[in-house]
Amino acid sequence: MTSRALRAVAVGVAAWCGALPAVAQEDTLAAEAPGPAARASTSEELDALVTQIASKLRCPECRAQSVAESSSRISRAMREDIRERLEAGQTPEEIVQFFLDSYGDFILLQPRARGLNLLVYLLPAAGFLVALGIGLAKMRSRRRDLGAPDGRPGDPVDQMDADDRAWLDAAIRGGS
Amino acid sequence: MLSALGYASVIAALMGAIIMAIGGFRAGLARSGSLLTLSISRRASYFAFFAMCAAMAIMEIALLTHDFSVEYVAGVGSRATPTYYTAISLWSSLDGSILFWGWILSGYGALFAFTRRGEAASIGGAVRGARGLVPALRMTALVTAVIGVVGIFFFGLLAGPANPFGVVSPVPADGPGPNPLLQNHPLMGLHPPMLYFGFVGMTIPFAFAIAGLIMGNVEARWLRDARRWTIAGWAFLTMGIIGGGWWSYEVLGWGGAWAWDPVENASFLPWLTATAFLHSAMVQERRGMLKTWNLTLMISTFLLVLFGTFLTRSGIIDSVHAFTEGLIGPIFLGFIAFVALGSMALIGWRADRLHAPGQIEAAASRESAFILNNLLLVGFTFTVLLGTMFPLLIEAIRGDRISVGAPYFDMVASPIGLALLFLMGIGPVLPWRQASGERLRRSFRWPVSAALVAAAVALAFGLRLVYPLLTIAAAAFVLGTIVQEFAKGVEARRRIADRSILGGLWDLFARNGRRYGGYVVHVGVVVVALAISVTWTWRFEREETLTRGQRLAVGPYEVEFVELWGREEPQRFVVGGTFRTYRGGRFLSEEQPRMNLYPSQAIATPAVNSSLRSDLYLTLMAFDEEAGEHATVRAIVNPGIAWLWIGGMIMGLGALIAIWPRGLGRPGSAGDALLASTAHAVMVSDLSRDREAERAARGEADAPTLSGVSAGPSSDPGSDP
Amino acid sequence: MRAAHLRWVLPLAVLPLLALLSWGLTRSPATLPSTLVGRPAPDFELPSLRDDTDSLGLADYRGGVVVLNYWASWCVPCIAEHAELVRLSESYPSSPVQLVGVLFQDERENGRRFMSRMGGEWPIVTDEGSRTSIRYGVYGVPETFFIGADGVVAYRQVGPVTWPLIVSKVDSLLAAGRLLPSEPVDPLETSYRPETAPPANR
Repeated sequence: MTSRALRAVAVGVAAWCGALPAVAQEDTLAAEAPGPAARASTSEELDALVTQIASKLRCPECRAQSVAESSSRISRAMREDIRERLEAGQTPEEIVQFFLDSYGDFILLQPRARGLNLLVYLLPAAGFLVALGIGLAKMRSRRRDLGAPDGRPGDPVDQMDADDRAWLDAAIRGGS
Repeated sequence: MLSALGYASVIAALMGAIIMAIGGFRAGLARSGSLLTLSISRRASYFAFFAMCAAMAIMEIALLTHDFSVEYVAGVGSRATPTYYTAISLWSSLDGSILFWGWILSGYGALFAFTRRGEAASIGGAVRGARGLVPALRMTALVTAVIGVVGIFFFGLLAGPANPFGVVSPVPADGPGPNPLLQNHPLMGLHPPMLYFGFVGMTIPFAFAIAGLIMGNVEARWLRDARRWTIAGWAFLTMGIIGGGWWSYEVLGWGGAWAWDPVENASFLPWLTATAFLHSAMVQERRGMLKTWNLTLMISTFLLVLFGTFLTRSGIIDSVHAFTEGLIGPIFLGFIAFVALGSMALIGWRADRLHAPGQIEAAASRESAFILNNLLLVGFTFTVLLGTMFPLLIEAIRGDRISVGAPYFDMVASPIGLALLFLMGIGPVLPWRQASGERLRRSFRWPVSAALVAAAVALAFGLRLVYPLLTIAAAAFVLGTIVQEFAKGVEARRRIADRSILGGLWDLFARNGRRYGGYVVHVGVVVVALAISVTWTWRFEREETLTRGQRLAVGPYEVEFVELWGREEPQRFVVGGTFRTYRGGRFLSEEQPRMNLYPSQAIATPAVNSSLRSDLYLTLMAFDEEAGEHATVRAIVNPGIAWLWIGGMIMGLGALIAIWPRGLGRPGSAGDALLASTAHAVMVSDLSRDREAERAARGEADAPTLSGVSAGPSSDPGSDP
Repeated sequence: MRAAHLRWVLPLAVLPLLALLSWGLTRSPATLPSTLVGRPAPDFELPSLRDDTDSLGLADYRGGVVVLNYWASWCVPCIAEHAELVRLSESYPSSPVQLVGVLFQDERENGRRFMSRMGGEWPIVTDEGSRTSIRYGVYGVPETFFIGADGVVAYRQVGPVTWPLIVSKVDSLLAAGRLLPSEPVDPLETSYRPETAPPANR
């Protein structure tokens, strides 16, 4: 009985996980068709591009938010500025460069990958690889077939808790 | 007068800490250490706690009665602040928060002493040997001593540079009130305490680590205690961090919960190393390996806690938390250096003695899964630390100011998080030492199928983005393994002790809370991961200026602007917009996002309509001051974000189950006693199946199996569960 | 892992970090290196605070030293530096030194009220939409730019200005443009008393 229940639960869980996109997307797909009472909104593509550029820039007076996220006044001003520049025909690269010229490197939320900045991109990956390498090397060089206490490698008895094993020994010997 | 009383309490606590340290070290190290000395140091813990309780009470009284002769009250108190926020302003500013920290520290110290109260009596025989007190008592003494040393630092800060009880003369009539950002939401009463209980809680494992290093003994009982204390601190830290995200979401108005702000990162770092320790501790428990590594982790966790506090409050990095005080920064750094250097020296001295034989025998074993888990978590720690400190590093070298923000951290966190998610499903199922191919196939068959089904369903619904797809598959995989583990356990209980499903579940939690509570924590992690993935992928927003009566469509919701209003409050002027929200044409609620105008700043407070399915998040961006005819509103749809908080609570619940004192189950029948551990029962039934299979393969005749001895009369050894 | 190697994990990780943090304590996080210094100050054409129909631009003051001060009525340090600005506006009577204020993220009415309360007659423009502030890389108030006769930004002060700072920057710019003041101004005189009593602080 439990195995069938198990299968049912597993499938149910899987289906629910998989269906999450539908549930979540429905909330956003409906945006395509505004209701009759809503005002027609400005161009969606422009919005998306503004958000994309703004999410690369750091709000100058906030803790750690992007210009896209922040509700602060200067961020709203910057978003409108980006929109105007896009409408005037500037490319995203030019717009980002303009903000770099005004504020300096700190306005970018992610450091440009050049010079010393490369360290922040390379060190984590390098660190991982080095640690992984050390770990694998140690495993390979020391790997021996030790054998479990009763002489058989991988014996299930060996997988028990120390408590369980003690209990088991006692039980085998006839105690309880 | 309150100032004097409060200050006297702090001094008393400081004296208590000094006695804890001196008495503890004497009892722990000296050959002449005696039970009396140990007892004195333990009582000093209680004394320090009572003294700090008095100090806290006095400060609260001073705050609530608006006694502006007390320096801290003069700094953050105000007659205009509502009572609730006055009460919690105790921890809103630097000196008060150190007072709070000190109180929690003294509380943990007293709790530790309390848990060891009957120790000497329960030892039975002689409490002293040739080298002084017996090891168990010396361990207690040393842990007490280390807590005392930490206490000396914090109480010393309170008695000196961070004294909140200074006297202000002439007494001002009123004060400026706490930072407006900290008055905006009742969650401010929960998030700092949770976080502090977590941070300070890591002092105890650290004390255990130092004591263990000094004594050169990190064996089973030490490990078990250290791990339990870590789980307690970890639980608070988890809920504090998620609570912080919730606060950020409800208060700051940008519609998100985590910005990879340096202060947020500072709280996340010790959480990562503590989690790593909780897992690698199991390897030490089972195989005796990784002792030095575990000690390093425990010490690092405490160092990261200190580092995080330093970072947050020293003013090195601009933040809403930074209340810079000139002298405290260097002093804190000095203490961190002292702790670090001392720990390094101890490790250097003891490392060789701690090394124990034991190898990783196979790649597919629980040991290697845990080690990979540690690698990922510690790598994550290092990466977040690097990203947080990188701007400072670049400025030191180049003089340039750069930012390392969310895009960078999201980029590095996603693969690590995903790998950890998958590992969460693999690790608990792998056996220790080695796994046979057959065993692996059997264990992973259903979870992998679940993952594939989930991925297929998601693809069918049109999802094409890689990370969400993988997260969903991983979630299904992990949930599949957890359901499987629970099912096996419940089924064994059913078979052997004739329990119902619910009864079986109860037994699992009661008898093996550590393991099954841990599974509950993993469920919580999966929920959190899914919530993050869903919100991040399908978040949607619109910003519009609306005239009265006009509606804005955002996702499946509609937002209608009704009117603007203003109201005068004692400490601020509030301008709000009333909006009606609809979903699918049906009226949902009336929401009132506000702009709180304090004398020195304006803070937008969002209004959130939450449901399990998604949140509608409204912020008032601008308003027409003269006629109130139009308002600019920003509406964000956050699908599934409520599950982020729910997942955090599940994690806390799981930790609670894991740490609940044993003895919860009823003393049972003979059958129960015979099979006290369900893990054992599961192993036995697997074991018998393996043996049967092997014997069948070798063509041997039937022989008595282990299962014949194990079960009560109701067991059926050979049947397939 | 070998315990002997593990003993180096903490030192390697912690010691450089401690060094970095110690250094970090010695500097202030609020200042930014300015990208505008040494580059031409962006021109603007913004409505005057006192008269909406009139608009002023940087080009109006070309040929002289311009001290461009970003401020707001809600900004507490701006109150502190206001006395110095008033003094600046009344000094250098025969030299081409012009103080210009830019109202940042604030309502005109608030700005007018502030100025009538605190005193001061120098030209002020309002930057609605904050476009000019963005061009100057302003991210908070007060900020003050010292612009030479050639239109190039010589110095940017983040935070309130002090009298010695004002004098040193203005004097050096006047000298650079060969526009020496006829009456030297004493940079060390700090006990300045305005004719009218200063209003009570908020």
